[in-house]
Amino acid sequence: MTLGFWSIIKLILGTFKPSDQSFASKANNHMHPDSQLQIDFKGQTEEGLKLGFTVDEMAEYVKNVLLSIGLTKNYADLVYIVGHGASSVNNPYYAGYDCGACSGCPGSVNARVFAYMANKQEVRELLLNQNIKIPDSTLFVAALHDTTCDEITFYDETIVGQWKDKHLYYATSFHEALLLNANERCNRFDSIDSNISRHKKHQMLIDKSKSLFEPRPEWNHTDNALCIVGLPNLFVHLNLDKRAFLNSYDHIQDPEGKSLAMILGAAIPVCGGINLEYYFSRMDQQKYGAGTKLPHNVMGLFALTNGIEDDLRPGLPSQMIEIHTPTRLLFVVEQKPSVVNQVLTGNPTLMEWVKNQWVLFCVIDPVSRKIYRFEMESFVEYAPVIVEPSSILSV
Amino acid sequence: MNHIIHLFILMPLVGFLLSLMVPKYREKLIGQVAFYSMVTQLFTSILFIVIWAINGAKPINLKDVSLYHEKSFDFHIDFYFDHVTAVFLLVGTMISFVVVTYSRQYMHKEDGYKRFYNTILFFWFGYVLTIWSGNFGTLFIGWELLGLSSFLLIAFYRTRYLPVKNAIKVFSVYRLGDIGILMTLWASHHLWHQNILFMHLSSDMVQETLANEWGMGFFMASMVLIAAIVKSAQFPFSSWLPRAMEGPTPSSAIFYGALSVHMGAFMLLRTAPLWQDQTAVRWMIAGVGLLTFLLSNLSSQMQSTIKGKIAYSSTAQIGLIFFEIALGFHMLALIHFAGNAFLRSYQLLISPSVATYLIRDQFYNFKAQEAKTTSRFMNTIRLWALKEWNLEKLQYFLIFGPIKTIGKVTMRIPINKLLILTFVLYYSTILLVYGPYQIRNQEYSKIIAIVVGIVGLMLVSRAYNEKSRALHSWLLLILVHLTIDLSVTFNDHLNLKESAVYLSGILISGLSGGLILLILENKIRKTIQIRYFNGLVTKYPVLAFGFLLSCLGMAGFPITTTFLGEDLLLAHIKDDEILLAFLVAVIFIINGIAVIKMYSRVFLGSQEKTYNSSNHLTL
Repeated sequence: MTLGFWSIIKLILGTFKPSDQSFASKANNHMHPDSQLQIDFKGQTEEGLKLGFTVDEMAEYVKNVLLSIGLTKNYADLVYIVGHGASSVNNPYYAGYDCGACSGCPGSVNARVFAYMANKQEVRELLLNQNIKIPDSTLFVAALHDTTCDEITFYDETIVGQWKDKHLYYATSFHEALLLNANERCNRFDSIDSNISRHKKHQMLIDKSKSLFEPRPEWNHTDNALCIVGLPNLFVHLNLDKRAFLNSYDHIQDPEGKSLAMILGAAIPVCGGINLEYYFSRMDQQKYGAGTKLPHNVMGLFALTNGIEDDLRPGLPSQMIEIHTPTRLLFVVEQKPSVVNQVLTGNPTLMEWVKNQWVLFCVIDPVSRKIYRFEMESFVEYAPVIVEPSSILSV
Repeated sequence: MNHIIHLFILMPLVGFLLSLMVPKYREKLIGQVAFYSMVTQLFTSILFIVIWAINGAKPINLKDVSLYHEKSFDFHIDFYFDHVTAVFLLVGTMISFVVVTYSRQYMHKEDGYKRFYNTILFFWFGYVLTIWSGNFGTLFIGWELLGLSSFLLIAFYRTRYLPVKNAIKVFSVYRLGDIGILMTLWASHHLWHQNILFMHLSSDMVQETLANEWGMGFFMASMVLIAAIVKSAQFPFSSWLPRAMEGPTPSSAIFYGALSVHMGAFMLLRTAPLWQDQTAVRWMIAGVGLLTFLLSNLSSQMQSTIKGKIAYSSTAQIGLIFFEIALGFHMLALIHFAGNAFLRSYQLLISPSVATYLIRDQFYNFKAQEAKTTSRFMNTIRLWALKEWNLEKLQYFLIFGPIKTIGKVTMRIPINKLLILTFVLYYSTILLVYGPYQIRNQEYSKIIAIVVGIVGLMLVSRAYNEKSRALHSWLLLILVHLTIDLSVTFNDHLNLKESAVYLSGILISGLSGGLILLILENKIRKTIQIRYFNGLVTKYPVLAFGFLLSCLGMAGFPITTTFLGEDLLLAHIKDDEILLAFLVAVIFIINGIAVIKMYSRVFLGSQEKTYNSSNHLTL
């Protein structure tokens, strides 16, 4: 009974002054910043699985990542490895807002593990054999971006000496960028007045992530339409309106398409899958989507239904897709068509996605800057339809 | 001081009417109307209760307008305020205030934002009327409003099949409880020849009558208990509560977690002087309470969904509250009510968080459970609890099955022939009664009354089952009302004025409903079959609203004179004619269910297309 009276107080507080709740899903709470991770393999096993990585494995992972994004030379002093996570409360879809590659958890652990590996002296020595020279002046720093609140947490306890000042300088840049990002995101919320100040908008986003009654803590991947695999100068000064997945890729360093195969092997199923989930949920809210989130009922810890005896609801709820424009994802890859073709034919599962047009695919030739579309099992040069207006009769 | 009471009834009504007037797209304004309406009520309630307590916390009674007055029959509105009302008012305003505020953002962009607030405020008006009621008549009005708003909120997602199906189910069970109140009204007419005030229940006059008329007293107490059991989802009606969790979460929280479901306990507390000297009744209440506590507790453990769990835990606690009331610990029961209402509404509002909370817990502290072998006995109990003790089947077997069987008696006659047949029979009997032979008030006319009543029951059960053309069922339902009127005319001298009071409402709503069905058939260019759900509400919302009003009129809802007529009719059945009284009450009830079922089948429950335009996404 006292439980009951205590709960009305909590309810009133929760309704009028959103604050951190014990049952909230908070990106930062996934891992305590001071916690120690066991990353090195010391011969221990648990249920037949190794605890930690050997140096060889670490070198392999680091090499793959660095090669695939083309980061093999011209190292800056500080390289940030940023995982992402989300904060929301009263939201059974919370895992969908977190990182899919981290089993629906925030990516903080992965970011820290990677930074540790890349900073490890033995790993760097092994990488030298692969022609990747990471200078001693370079430090990898892990961080976590809370995409709902647009806040960043640095796991920076290891930063000492010459890096410290630089890090403080970059950190302010991060905060500045996040503030701008928060502003851009606010444009999509009906409930946020676009005339208020930047900091107020940011605060409103943070409040959204804490309030019990917010069915739209963030828009997630809503309106995704594009996946760009290439160098940043492909889209510099272009407003992508938060609709693109971006993947760094340097075609010069990868003439044979080995890294591209790795990138596409992940990007096509992941980005394509996300896109199709939004696409179908939006096209038929009742059969492929989950309908409105408001009457949802958690069944077991594995599913959602309406009421207690309705069908399980697959797909995304309308609060996640209502402003989504259902389009097939368009891949833009900066590489020679012949190399891309070779990559795709080399991996039949990827070819199925592309051939059957679950994703649309085009290639920009890095030399001629011509665009080739994948059509009828081969790349065809894209000729924009240009119709000259015959004449203007009157204005 | 006393006239402030009017303010408490008017404020919810004004809030509701204001919310009706705001245009649908002015989301913010709708939210503000509801919010400020609730804020005002919260503060005035607290202020009023404080002043009332300082002045000695004496019960207040206020006799209000008389809706119908004749020498032997008086139906008036009456308000009563004591510590029970105070607690229910305070808890109710607090929870409604929080839920209304909570929903302003939660329901944002939802299709039906306005409808949600209209229904919540309508519910709140019904709740206030019920807890302030000073006699059974006023209580019955509030009770009906609660039932209707319940139906509307469960069927909030009105184009989906299951919410509508469950809304009909809950409404049907609620109507069963209404039999209890109708019969209580009838019994009180005969015991005291007036619409007895709750204030007078503990007076010597009432207590003396109860002591002398033991049988009637017991009957009345059992009827009150039935109404309470149904409304509070006690054994054997527990299974409706989890099925009612179909609307948006805040509406489930306010209704089924907190307020609506405790109205049974309120009813018992309010009518305590009626039954507290009858040991048998107290045993019954305690027994039902304990049995529900036990069964619901086990059911709650076996529910797979979080809202189902909360619903059964709530009924289990209400079982305990019933037990406390039976023992006479009324103060404890009130505190228990407040605690349970607060806790359950909070739990329901944060129920989506259960996934986050428990999965995170498993993530960090997971321990695989060892496989346990349990005894065969425990397994049986668990399986039974999983099946919710087959209470659904029991209800069907005891109540809805028999109605179907009675309806099947006339199954061989096609409905259009049945209509003509009944009509001819009706007119020939009218001629017999009012024509040259005047066969009223003879010895055998009482038997004719019963026979006509049974015919009425058969017809209404037929209409309840009917699955062909909507218009035919509708006409049959009008004939049912004529039959009831006829039956009572045979039984006792029912003058034309009283008949007119009863039938005028039926006539208006019957004609308007029939007209709407005809217009609809004309518009969609085919007959409307109620074999399946038509879901016409999205295309014809105005006609749907008109038809809902007609249905309410037909069901004797307090918007037409039929509501008074129902009570009048019952007053003409004497206390030794319990069979006829029961027949008439049952016909009213089935009629109400059939009408709502028809509305649902014509207008709700299906969707033409499942792909949506962007402004109809949140269905």
